[in-house]
Amino acid sequence: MITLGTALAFGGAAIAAALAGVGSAMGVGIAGQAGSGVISEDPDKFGNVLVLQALPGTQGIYGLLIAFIIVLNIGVIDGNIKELSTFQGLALLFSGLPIGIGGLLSGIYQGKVAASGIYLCAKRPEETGKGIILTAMVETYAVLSLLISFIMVNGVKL
Amino acid sequence: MPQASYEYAVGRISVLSNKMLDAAQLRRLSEAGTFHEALAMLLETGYGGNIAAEHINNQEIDYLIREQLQISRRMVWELTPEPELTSLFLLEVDTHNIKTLLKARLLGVDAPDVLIAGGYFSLEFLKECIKTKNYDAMPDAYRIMMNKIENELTRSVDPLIFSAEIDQAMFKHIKRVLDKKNDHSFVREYFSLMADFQNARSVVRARLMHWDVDKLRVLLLDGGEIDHKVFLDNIDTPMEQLGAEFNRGSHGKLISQTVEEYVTTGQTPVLKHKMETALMNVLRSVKWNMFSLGPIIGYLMAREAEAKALRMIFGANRGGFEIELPELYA
Repeated sequence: MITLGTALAFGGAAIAAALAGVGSAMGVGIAGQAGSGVISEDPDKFGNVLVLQALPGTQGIYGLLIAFIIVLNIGVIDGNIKELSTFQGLALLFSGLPIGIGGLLSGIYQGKVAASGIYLCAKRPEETGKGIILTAMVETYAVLSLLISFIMVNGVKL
Repeated sequence: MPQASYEYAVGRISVLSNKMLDAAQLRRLSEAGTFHEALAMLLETGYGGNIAAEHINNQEIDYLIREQLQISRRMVWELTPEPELTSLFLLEVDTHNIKTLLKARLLGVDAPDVLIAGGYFSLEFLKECIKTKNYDAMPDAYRIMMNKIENELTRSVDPLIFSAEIDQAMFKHIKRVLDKKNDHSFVREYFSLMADFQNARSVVRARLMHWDVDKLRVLLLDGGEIDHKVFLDNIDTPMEQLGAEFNRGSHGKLISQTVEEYVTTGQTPVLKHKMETALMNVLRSVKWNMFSLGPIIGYLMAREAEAKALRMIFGANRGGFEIELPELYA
C-alpha cells in the first residue's frame, strides 16, 4: 500500500528529476541555438561549440541522480515499496527541492553563459577556454544544490 | 529557413562581423596611393567574394559596395526575430528611393542607377506607387503624406518641401510603430535622438538660410524628446544662446554642447559628425546585450557605416582629396 508519505517521497523524486531536467533542456537549447548560428557560418567551430553546448546538460543528470537515490531508498527499484510516514515523505520531498530549483535556474543561466561563450568562440577562437571556464562557474551552484539534496536524502532514516 | 531567435541570429552575426573591415584596415585603404592599389587591398580582405581586382573598374566599385550592403541587409532581414522594429532601420533607404522616384517622375526621366534595393519596401512596389500616384498600400503615415505631396505638386514644386515631408512621414511611421509595440528600448532612444538632433540642425540651417518659422515647421521631425515649440520659438534666438535652449530631454546636454561647438568653431560638419557619433554610441551601448536586437541592428548599421566609409575612400582616391573617415561601429 502506498501511504501519503510514500507519495510525497515520489513527489520529491519527480521534482528533482523534472525541474533540473527542464533547466538543462532550456540551457542546452539556448546554447544550441547560438551554436547553430555560429556553425552555419563557420562549421569548423563545431568541436568548441559542442563542449559549450553540453555544459548546461549536467543539471539534468544531477536531478536524475537525486531522484534515483530517493526511489532506490523507498524500494521502488527492488519492487518492495516502503510505507513511509508523512514526515518521512515530506523530508524526501524537501530533499528533492534544492537540486530541482537550483538545477532549473542554474541550467537556464548556464545556457545563457554558454551561448555568450559560443559568441566569444566565434569572435576569438583562441579564447574558447575562457568561455568554458566562465560557463563552468555557474555549475558551482548546481553542484552545491546537488550536495545539499544528497545530504538531506541520506539524512532521512527509513 | 533560419530560426527567428536572438541566440541564432547573434551566433551568425558574431561570425559575420569578423569579416568586416576594421578602422585600421579602412585607414590603410584611405592611405593607398592609387585606385587599383586600394582596390587590391580591399579585395585581399575577402570583401566582395572572390573577384579579381583587374575585373573591377572605377564605376563597378560602387556596384560592389552596394551589392555587399544589400547582402547584409537581406541577411539581417532573414535573421531578425523583430522584423517590425528592424524594418525601421531600413526606412532611410526607402526614403531615399521615394524621393528619387518622385524627382525622376517630375523630371520625366528614369533613375535606375540611383535607386537602392534592400529597403523595407520593394523597389517595384515603390515604382508602382509613385507611377500610379496610388499610395493606398503604404503604411498610414506614408499614405497620408504622399497624398498631401501629390496634392501640393499640382500647385507648385518645391523639392526641399517634399523632401522634408517624406522625412516627416518616415519619422511619423517610426513613432507609430514604436508606440504600437510599446517599445522603450534602444530603438526608441536611437530615433528620438536622431529626431532631436535633426531638428536642432534644421534650426541652425534655417538661421543660416534666413528661413521663416513656417518653413522651419515643415522641416521638424516627430518622435524626439524636445518639443517642436522649443525649436520654433528659438528661430530668432542669438546663436550664442541657441545651444542652451536645446538642453532638454535625456540627450539635451549633448545636443546643446554640439550646437555650442558649432557656434564656436563655425564648422557645420560638426553637427552631423556629433550626431553620427551619438547614434553609434546608442548602438554600442547595447552591443553586448546578446539576447536582444542590439547586436543585430549594430551589425546592420556597422555594415552601412563600412559602405559609407568605402565610398568616401574610393571617391577621395578618384578625386585626389583628403577625407575624414565616418563614425564606425566597432
